[in-house]
Amino acid sequence: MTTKPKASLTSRLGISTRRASARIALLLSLFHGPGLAEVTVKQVKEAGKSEIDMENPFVRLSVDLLHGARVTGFVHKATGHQWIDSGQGLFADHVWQQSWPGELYSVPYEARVEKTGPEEGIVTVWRVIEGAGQTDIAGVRVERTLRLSDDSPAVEVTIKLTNTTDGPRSVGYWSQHILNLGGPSDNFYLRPSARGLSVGEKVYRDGGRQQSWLGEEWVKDPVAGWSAAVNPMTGEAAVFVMDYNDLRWLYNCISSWTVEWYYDLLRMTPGREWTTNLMLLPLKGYKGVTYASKELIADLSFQRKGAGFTMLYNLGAGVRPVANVQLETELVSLPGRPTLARESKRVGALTFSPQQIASGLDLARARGDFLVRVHVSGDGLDHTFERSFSRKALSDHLIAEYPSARYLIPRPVKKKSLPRPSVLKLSPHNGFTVLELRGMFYPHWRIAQALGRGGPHRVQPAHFVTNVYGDRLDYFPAGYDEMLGYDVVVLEDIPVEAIGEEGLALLKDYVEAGGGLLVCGGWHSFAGGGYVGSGLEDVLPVTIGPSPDLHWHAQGLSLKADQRFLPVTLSSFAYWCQEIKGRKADSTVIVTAGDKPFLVTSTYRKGRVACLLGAPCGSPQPGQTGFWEDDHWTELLGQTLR
Amino acid sequence: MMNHIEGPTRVARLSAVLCFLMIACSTAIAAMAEPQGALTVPAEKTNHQVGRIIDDPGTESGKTLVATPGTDKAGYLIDQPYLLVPPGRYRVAFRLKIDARAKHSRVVVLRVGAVGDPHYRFIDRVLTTADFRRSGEYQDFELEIARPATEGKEQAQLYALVSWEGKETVRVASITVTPLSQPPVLVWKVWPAKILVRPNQEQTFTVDLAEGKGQPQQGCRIRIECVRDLDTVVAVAEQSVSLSPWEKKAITLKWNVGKPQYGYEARATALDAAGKPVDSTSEWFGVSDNSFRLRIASNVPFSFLDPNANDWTISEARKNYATVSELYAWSPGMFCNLYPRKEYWASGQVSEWRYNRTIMKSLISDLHKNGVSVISYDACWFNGAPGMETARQHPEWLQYNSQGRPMGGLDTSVWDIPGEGDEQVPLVPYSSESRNIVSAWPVDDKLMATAADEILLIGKELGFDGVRWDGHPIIWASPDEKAIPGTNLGTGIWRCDGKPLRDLVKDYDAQSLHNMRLIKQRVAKQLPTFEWGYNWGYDVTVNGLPKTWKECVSNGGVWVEGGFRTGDLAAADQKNTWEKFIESCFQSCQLVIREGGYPIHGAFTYTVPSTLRYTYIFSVANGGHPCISDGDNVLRDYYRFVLRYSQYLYDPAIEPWWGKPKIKVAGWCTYRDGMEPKIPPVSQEAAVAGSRPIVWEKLLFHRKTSATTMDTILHLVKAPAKPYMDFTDLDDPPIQEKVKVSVRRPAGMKLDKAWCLSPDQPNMGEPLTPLVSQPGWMDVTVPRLAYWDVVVFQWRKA
Repeated sequence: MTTKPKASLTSRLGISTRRASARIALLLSLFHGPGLAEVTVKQVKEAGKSEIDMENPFVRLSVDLLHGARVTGFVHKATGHQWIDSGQGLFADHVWQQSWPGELYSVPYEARVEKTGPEEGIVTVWRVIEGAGQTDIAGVRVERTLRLSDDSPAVEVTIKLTNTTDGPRSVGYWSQHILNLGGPSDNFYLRPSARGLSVGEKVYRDGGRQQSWLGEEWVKDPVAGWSAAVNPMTGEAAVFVMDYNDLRWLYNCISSWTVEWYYDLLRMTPGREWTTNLMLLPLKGYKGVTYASKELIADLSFQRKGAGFTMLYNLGAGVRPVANVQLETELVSLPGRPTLARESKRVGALTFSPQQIASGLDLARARGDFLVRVHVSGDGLDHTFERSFSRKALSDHLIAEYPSARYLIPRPVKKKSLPRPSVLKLSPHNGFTVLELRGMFYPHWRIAQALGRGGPHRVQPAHFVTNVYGDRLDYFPAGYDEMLGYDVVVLEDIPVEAIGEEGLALLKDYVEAGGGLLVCGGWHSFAGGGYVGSGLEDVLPVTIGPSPDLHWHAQGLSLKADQRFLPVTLSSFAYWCQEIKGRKADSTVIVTAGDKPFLVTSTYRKGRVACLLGAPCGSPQPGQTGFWEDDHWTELLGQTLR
Repeated sequence: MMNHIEGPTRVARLSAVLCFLMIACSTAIAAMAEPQGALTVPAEKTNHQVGRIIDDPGTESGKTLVATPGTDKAGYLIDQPYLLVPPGRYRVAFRLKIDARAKHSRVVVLRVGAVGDPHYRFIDRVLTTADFRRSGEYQDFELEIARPATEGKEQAQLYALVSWEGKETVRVASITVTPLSQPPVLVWKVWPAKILVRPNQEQTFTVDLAEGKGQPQQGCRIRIECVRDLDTVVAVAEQSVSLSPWEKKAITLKWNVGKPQYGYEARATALDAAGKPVDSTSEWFGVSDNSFRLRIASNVPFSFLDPNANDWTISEARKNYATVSELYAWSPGMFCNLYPRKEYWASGQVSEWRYNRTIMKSLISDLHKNGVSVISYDACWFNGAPGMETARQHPEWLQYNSQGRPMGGLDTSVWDIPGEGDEQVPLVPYSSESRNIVSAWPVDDKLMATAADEILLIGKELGFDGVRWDGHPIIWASPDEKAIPGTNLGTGIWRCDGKPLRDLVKDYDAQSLHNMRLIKQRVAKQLPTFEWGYNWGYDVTVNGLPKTWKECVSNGGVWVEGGFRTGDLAAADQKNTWEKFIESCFQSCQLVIREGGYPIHGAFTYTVPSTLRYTYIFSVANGGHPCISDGDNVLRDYYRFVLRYSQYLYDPAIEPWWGKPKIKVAGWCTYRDGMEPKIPPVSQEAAVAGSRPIVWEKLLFHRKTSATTMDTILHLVKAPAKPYMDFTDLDDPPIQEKVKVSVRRPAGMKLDKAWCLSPDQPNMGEPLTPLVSQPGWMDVTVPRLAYWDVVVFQWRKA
């Protein structure tokens, strides 16, 4: 006879182990605070006021339904500190097509209370963008769901955008949070970038009478989805975690205490929905943040020991406590990257209050700059992060150095999910149809005249815009139906960022299905366009050289067409030519400029691809003609397009 | 960047046309017998286009004319009485009240005038809510005007208008016309042709006279004098004149202004046959060898597509004593594309603004005839259609970032618009300035020479007198390549071949100096008096490029932008104290003045008259030339005052009473004075006692005028109601009277005279009676401190 193993206390009480440990950790961490371990949700409606108040053992927040459904009150119970000054707020909805404060910031929202506790409270708020005069965004519904649970400090949020209209929409969502972790001590803003940990600092001097800021506000090369604000004096931290696959840029307006980020531009077919999750973790006990995720918050700091320093790990739980945590660390020298030392440590359980663990690594082995790579594992935990340090910056007070080009972290490829048809096929249509993405100096390529030589055609233009908000196109197909309806797509000096990951996926599939692609050069294409490592390079007949790849040939390089492929006689010159790394095996050079390939073609799956490796720029020498003014240029281009 | 003021061009034209039509068509002309006293026309007897007559027991007639937003349209609340009066001087009083005074708002424009006078078309005054003492109380607002007889008639036209803005409920009870004087010879205007004259050049005065009694006037004389400094009278000319009954006559006299600079009062006096003065009038102008030094730039509305608007533009400029008109964002492109190659074009910077070359040349010519210096805005970037074409032809002239991309912004939809130069060309919809723009590479002599040649073209072909850079071709990079906020200076830049600037240029100061000298010298060869201004003086490049700074600031206008712009200081934030503001003004001015430059503060925002007035005063008192948006003409009297007494504000010999500061730029818009620990307490130099707080301690200066003479200049400013800049406050503390001022007598000197100068008094200046209350000190009592008095003590070696 077998005996059933004695059930554990927690299972006998019908509580999961995970939940039990969370509750125990909660009670332990709350021994100074209110003992109430449940969530409450209350609606407050008075004259001039409509709010939903949500509370759990960790935070108390108010959602102001009359003003953008922003969280306009936020008390972090561990410190008792109110994070929001009047007029500010968390989780403000914006779209990048509207400059701040935008349409949504101070308008009433609809709301629905989904759950009122005791284990979780869920509130959903929404509003449809009117976008007066902005056809790109009008009719997009913005919905935000906030969730508190009884066993976590995390405020979990889901954003959902829906195209409620009959037409395509392009919208860039942007999340903004204005919070003050308290002066008059400095606040730091920490973000993960390809150049290392990026830091901004709000500086208070002279008892707060003088304020200034240091560091960078924009991080246009994030490598992970998080952003943290920290007050090292009080140890209070606001860590925001968002989905890297949707993240475009991180931003802080340091003088105004904001934490913000921009999402990738969405091109939405009618009815399309897009969701993304984000989270706010209000924490205490941190002087800095090196790494953040839903499950783990980590920092590396230093403590003087004799003539040198000891490194300290500061590790804490994210959304819930974690058990059985272990560390494995490598100390790596920069440059060159030889591993100098390793260590492993058992940490045990991580709770919301960080644990400080001294490293045993001998930092003296690193004579110059070095990198620390840490792998943290545990129950449901598997994270790796790294951080570089310069020897001379080490101190007891180091929060972060300004990033430099000392070493670069490759940006992880984002995973996008687009509803893809099971069979990729160009859709039949009448007439020759071209999608022309018009970049810098586009009129001089003379695409319109080239097309005109071949008979009736239709051009769908899109225009390239680049400014402080980044690269974008004012139009791109939002889905496969539209994308597969073109005969040729022309990129006239267009960077991949403007097309976006979803757009690149569409474009690549389009070529694969048999579409034609003409890529024209310039400063915003090839190396300068971010083509290296993007899906677009896979499709091209050339491999891309290092930046800057557009070189000046002041005396001009004479153009010559290979008569076997293109019986056109050119008598003109190119002055700015794209230097490529090489040509792919199946490519064909149709036109040369001097001894350099100028027009190169190949096939990609069922599609055809051509590259014009230069720009229609420069001052012709006396007696010379720039190729863009050559009598036969449009003939050459027309034949290439058709 | 300055705001572009379009001005009420259409409104002005409309009002002029309407007035003319009303005069032509009106059946309500009230011919008046020679007035014995004041004539009051109650509102219900006037002509009004908008508003309604209602009962009001608070008025003499029991009725009032009311206009209420939502009920009445904006427009001419009153467009008559249209009166015929004997030639003479008149005061017109408008009796109005408002219902609410909670916030700043423009209420009405009062206007008195006559049709047909190109220079004094009318006298006008904007009333805002701040002008009313309180709501619900009738108040009189007065305008004075001199009217000669209408041609061929015995009487003078005079009309009164009240134009309602449609924003606040206003009630008009009556208009009262009071004759002030009817002299036999009315000097109704003296007009200096030029508001600003260069030294040793000719000024032309036109004096308009009118016979006022209907009798021949024989043996009269007209005397013209110019008054400068405090009370130095310079005789200009005197000639005899005779007038037939009601005759109008204009006399023109020329005068070489000689060497002395700064402000003048031109005074024309009519003397009867017995030599007794019977009437007198004045106007003001200035003399300077550099227009930046006497830069008074207020609202100068201009329209480059309407040739008929020139008169209006000039008239407004002269009313505001504008000595400089800076034309902002007018050109088809910057740097290498300033000069318009076509007759019509759109601004490369603000795509909605359209221009015509012929009209522009004529306006600049007219401005020059009036002595107004015309300065072009410029910057070292490529923008607009011609700028982009230059960039396409010369990519080697562009700046690049580390990824090899040109540094700037792009919007290729702009190129869908067919080329510029066509009058009918559809304009690029305005969404932001310079949608296509790329910065210029700063290490290329050919590029700099091309930029200089463009400046020469606009100077020679269009008549521009100078350029004020908003980004001149200097270079600087900090070791960590962090950009200075608001600029792209400091950040790394790369050449078209990928080489970073820091590897190509080892001495940024030398290269920057080379660039500036190349441009200046190339221009000076053909335009030796061309003037230069900059946007500089508030970031660490001042310390980083000392030789270039010295070269540029000397005799240059320096727009000190940082910290004074709307976004920086225009919020009612208790941390934005007046003390901080005054200190900023002082330090930023001294940084420039001590190097021989002329500081410009820009741009001050206008939210309420009180804050505007104080920001203006504190800038000017420190030697600054504010650039402000004064759409309600709050400060017209101040511009006149500043011009007239400019030597007590802008003479480079003026320095703080304790000596010369040593100002360094410590960070973005942050300064440090190396002399600060050594500054003695001001109490050892002066004392001021008033019934309420007065700001003066940091506004005490000395001015050495010769080896044996000097001035003490003390600015008294009635302290603002709040210690911080409140951009919503309508009210100021009350006027103070009998303010006691004591200053230490400089050793070995005795007092020549003491004067109180003030824009708040109609005569702008009066002598004071000094007393000695204790040895070594001189005391005066300033009779009245409304807002700002400048007390000047002139000393001479004993």
